[in-house]
Amino acid sequence: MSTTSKKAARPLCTLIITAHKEGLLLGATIKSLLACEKFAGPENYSFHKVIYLDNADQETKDIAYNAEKCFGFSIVETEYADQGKVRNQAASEAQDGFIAFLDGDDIWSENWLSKALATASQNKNYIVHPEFNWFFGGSNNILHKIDQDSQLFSKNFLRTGNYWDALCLAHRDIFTHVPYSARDIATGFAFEDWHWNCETIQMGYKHKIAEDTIHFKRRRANSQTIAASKRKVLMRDTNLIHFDNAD
Amino acid sequence: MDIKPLERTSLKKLISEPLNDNEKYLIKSFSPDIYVALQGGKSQENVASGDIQLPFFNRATYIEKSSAPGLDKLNKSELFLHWVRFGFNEKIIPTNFFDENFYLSKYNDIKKSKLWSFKHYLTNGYGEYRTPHNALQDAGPRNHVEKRYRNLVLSEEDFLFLRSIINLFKGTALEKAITKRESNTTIQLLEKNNPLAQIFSEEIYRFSLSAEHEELWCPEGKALLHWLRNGRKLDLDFSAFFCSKTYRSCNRDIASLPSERRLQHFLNHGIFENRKACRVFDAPKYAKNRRIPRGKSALLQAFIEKDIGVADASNNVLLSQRKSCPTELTDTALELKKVEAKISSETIQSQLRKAQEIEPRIDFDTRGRSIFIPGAYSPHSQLYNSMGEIQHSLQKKHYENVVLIPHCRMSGAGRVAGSLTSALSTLFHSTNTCIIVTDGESFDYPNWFPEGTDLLHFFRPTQHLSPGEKNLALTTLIRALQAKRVFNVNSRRGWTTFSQYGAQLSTICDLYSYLFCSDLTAENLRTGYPQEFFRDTFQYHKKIFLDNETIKRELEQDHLLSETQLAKLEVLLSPTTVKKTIQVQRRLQKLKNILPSKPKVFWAGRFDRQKNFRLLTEIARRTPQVEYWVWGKAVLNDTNIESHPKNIVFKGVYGDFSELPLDQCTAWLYTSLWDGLPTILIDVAATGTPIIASNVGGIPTLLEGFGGSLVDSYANADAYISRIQELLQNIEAFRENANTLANLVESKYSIENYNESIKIALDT
Repeated sequence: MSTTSKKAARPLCTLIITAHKEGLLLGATIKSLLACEKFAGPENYSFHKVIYLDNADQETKDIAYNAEKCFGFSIVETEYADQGKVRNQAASEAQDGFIAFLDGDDIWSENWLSKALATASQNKNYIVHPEFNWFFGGSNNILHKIDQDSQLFSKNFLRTGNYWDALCLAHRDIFTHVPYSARDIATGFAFEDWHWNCETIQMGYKHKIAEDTIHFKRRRANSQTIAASKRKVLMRDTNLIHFDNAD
Repeated sequence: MDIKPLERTSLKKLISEPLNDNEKYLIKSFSPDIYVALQGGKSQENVASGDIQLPFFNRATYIEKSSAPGLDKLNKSELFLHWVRFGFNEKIIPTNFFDENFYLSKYNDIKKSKLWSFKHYLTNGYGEYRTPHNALQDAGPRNHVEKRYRNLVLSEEDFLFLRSIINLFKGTALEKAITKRESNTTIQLLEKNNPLAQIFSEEIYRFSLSAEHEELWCPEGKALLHWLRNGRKLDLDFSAFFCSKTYRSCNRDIASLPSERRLQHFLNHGIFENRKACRVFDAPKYAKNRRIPRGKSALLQAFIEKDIGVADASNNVLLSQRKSCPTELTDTALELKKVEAKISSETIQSQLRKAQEIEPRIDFDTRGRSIFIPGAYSPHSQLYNSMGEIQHSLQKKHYENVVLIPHCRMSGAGRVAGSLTSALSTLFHSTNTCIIVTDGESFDYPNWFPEGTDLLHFFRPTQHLSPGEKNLALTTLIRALQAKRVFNVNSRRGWTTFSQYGAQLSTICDLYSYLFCSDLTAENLRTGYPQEFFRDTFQYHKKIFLDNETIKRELEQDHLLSETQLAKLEVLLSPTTVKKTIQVQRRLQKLKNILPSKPKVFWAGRFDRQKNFRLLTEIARRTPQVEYWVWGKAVLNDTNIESHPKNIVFKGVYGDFSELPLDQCTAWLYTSLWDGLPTILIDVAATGTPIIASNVGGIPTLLEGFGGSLVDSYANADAYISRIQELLQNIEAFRENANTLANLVESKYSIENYNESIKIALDT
């Protein structure tokens, strides 16, 4: 990362790809991140790019280390087998500023960073999500996300469903203040992103939408979210789902 | 003409350049509003920044017809000024609602004059009220359309369409008006309450109109008429409950019809055939679940009942009890339309194209795509809606104890649930306990439960959910209530929920369930909750309550339970509220040694296979000297009660045990084929009434040692008959035994004992 005084004045944003067994799919993800970085303008922001390899297979590692060599990514290897824990570590290791997470097989729309950073810069308590999740591969559905300030938003919905996933952009302090909870598949608790959304709302943070932005999300047969849904797992308990905290 | 590349900066220069007279005249003809604004001193730049309605100017049409680059970056007013400066000279007609061929063929003078027809219309034809388009009745400038609608006369074409959907208005004054072609009456009635007006949504129509044909003017309050005259021909959305595409894809037999014919088919037939026609309302399912007769429209019925279910993207759409849902569904449909329009916008499409350059599999196959809006239209909508209803019906937001019961009908389990709830009320105060009725709606015996205990009906708000969703809903409810203890007393939903989510629930609250006995199939195989759920849920329970030792022994032997595991099984003697009162004592004294001339044997229970009502009829037939007074009703309808001997006297269903005329009862007969320890036998025993009962399940727990009461060959009428005869011959000994049993019941099966046992079991 640059340390010149001129560049230090630019807002800092750490772009974090979390990968495990994406293999060659990781390549397109890296390309989309680079396109996004270019569109946002390195002259406007100082970006630090990291790939976290959690129990990654060799194919995935090869792609990641090639990206280190060619595009200046940092690589960190972990052995959690838990996305939440990886994100927690990544947040704790990131420098001050914003953090944007990207799954190792997903694609950002080119305007994502630019628009999300513009939104997040308005308020340090904002957690920014794309306007659309556009699925491809095993699904072709489109999910239109809801801004917390929208009339369609209700805390009550979070009792039964999730508005947003973990692929957001927010200030590092939010991630360190509210870390992701651990998965406990044996007991039947997962959906750490849903839980994190509830907890952050409880803490007073606000989930916002960056208009016109898209996350293209690859749906694979062995997707962890799909697997969690099939296993009848639940989100961990959180005060937000209690009737005491209802809208 | 050389078209300059137009960027926003150069556009500013362009629109700030003074307009020449021709351009001003064109603007005046085209849009008097803009002209007036310009004349009033507003700068061209200011006018261009507004979003104005322009007749005969469609942004998309102009961009499509013009070869000038960069036009997609301009707003509508800017584009219009661009057309005034450049497009006009290129003879671009920026709308599809001016039909040049029609205009020239209709107006020979224009054809002869060799004038550009569109220019003629704008500068002269419009003022002369000439017709710009053959098919579309209301293509034209705003003031023309407004004027027409002030004194609207429906055309022959309008009436033709209305007649093609006449079924929709069958039997109404509107039908007559349409048939007689009475324009004024038809218009008046169309604007009032009628099926078409009900399903029509002005918001949806205006949204579609402005999204697809922004140049068409629709007068205020006249949207339905405008749709009737114009929008229907343009295949514009007009309702949350009809989508041409959905109707085609869901109904293959009419898929080949042109769009207007499909619409007619829906309004005239499909709506009454309950065909699926939109995403937000599943008419076939609604009709099925509401048992709507053939030929009657589920959709229109739902409007009458104001009871349309929430939209659900998982295709499980059904119904809910929440009122005023039709408007909510219209909101949802409108929201979906807005999202679809956004997805089609150039901004999003350009992002999509760029992403496809990186990953060509994105948007590769769009068949069967669904668009979700969490909270409004998603696979979770049904569950969300159900939870909303439940939340609204709750009296409190938090309960320490939750008691799950299937329903409350004449059953021992219901009585036990009442006793348990009373015990919990004593231990924790009644306001801390909530009874949740899970599997049905009946709650016939509220007097079994302590006053002040809140009751929540879970069944009705969740009946449209899938079984898995119901389990999730109950789990969510338990979590939302922050219950510390959950007691399941014969609730199947409770068992399936513990089975599915017991692992998670047991980490946040203590789970307790009651087991009474195994059932028997017709093949004499044991079945029921002990077989279905005990194994899978044992580990999640803090305690499993039993009402007799027999079922405990059965579970122990079935599963070879260890000492530690056995400690989880708690036998609780169900209490009786019946006291052996002084009155009963006196009656017994009075009856001592006296046998009535026509002895009366009482029998009460469900007329089901388990209670062996059929055996009772055989016993009665063979003991005509005895009169059998019978209380109860068929619940499972697995027994024929039509043919019965005359000495069986049906007494209906009793509300409370105290209503029974026990002073006339010689003995109580109980013929069950399998059972736990029936609470009614405890009650009867408490009164000192002699009992003859089948030796099954937990019954010996109560009657063992009281000679003559238990019938070992319980499936055999002979065994009962000989025991009845024995009783009639030796009534005094039987009454003596009964009196001893009554004393025992009073001390052993007391409420105080039961409450104390619960207290110990809960470790409070």
